[in-house]
Amino acid sequence: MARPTDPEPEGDDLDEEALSWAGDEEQGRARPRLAETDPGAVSALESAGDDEDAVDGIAGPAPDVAGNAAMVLFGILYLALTVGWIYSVQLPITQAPSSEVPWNVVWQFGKFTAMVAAPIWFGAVVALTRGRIGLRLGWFALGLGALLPWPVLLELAG
Amino acid sequence: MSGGTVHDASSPAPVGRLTAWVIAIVFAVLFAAPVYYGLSDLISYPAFAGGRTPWWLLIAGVVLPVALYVGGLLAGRGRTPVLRTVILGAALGAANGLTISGIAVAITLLSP
Repeated sequence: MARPTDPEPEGDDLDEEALSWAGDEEQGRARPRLAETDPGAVSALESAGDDEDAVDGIAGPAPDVAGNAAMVLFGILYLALTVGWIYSVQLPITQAPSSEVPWNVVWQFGKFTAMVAAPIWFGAVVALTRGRIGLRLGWFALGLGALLPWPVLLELAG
Repeated sequence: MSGGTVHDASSPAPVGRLTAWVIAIVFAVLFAAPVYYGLSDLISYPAFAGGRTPWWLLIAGVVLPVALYVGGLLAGRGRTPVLRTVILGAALGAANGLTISGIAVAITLLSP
């Protein structure tokens, strides 16, 4: 890091300045933190010239924008499912069929699990399908169908 | 190895197997509620609805919770106890949600 008393860095000093942190010298890490550039890769880039395909081959895979966009979309839909279930469990149509305490407790627990099912399903799919975007979207779509909050949808429809 | 039990490296350790059984039994008890409600509806609705009985809905109300439990057990095989619990928790929530939805749909179908 440049200090007010340091001389103004120039040329190669600027590169070295950008690749190091203050205190590196004291900790024995005077070398730049990035590895030296592979001369082979540099020559391949130079020989590629304007050929963008060749440059892409060296640069590595592009980020999975479509997969991330689909995940955000499903995240919003699953949030809507959760909100739908929070409304559903308050409707008269979902009240406990029995007034006896043990069955009422079981029914309330069931309503609670229905309410939290969407976020748990979302988390389980994300954890189980790392790196398999097609499978992930399939499970998201299946969960979307299975977890539809029909009580509130029926209430809205009629 | 002498004097101890030799375990195949590919099979789960005894503690893991015990945990898996405990998780499976606990969730079997929890899944009993949606299955009970499904069976109860399957028995009581036809007497009430007569020819308008939505059989597909009543049968799905029994089959789906069982299918979700079995599917959750299969999906959780060979995974950590936490992940098994999360998978079966998601399946339990879906089973209870489908049961509540089934009751709501049946009431709507039978209402004049």
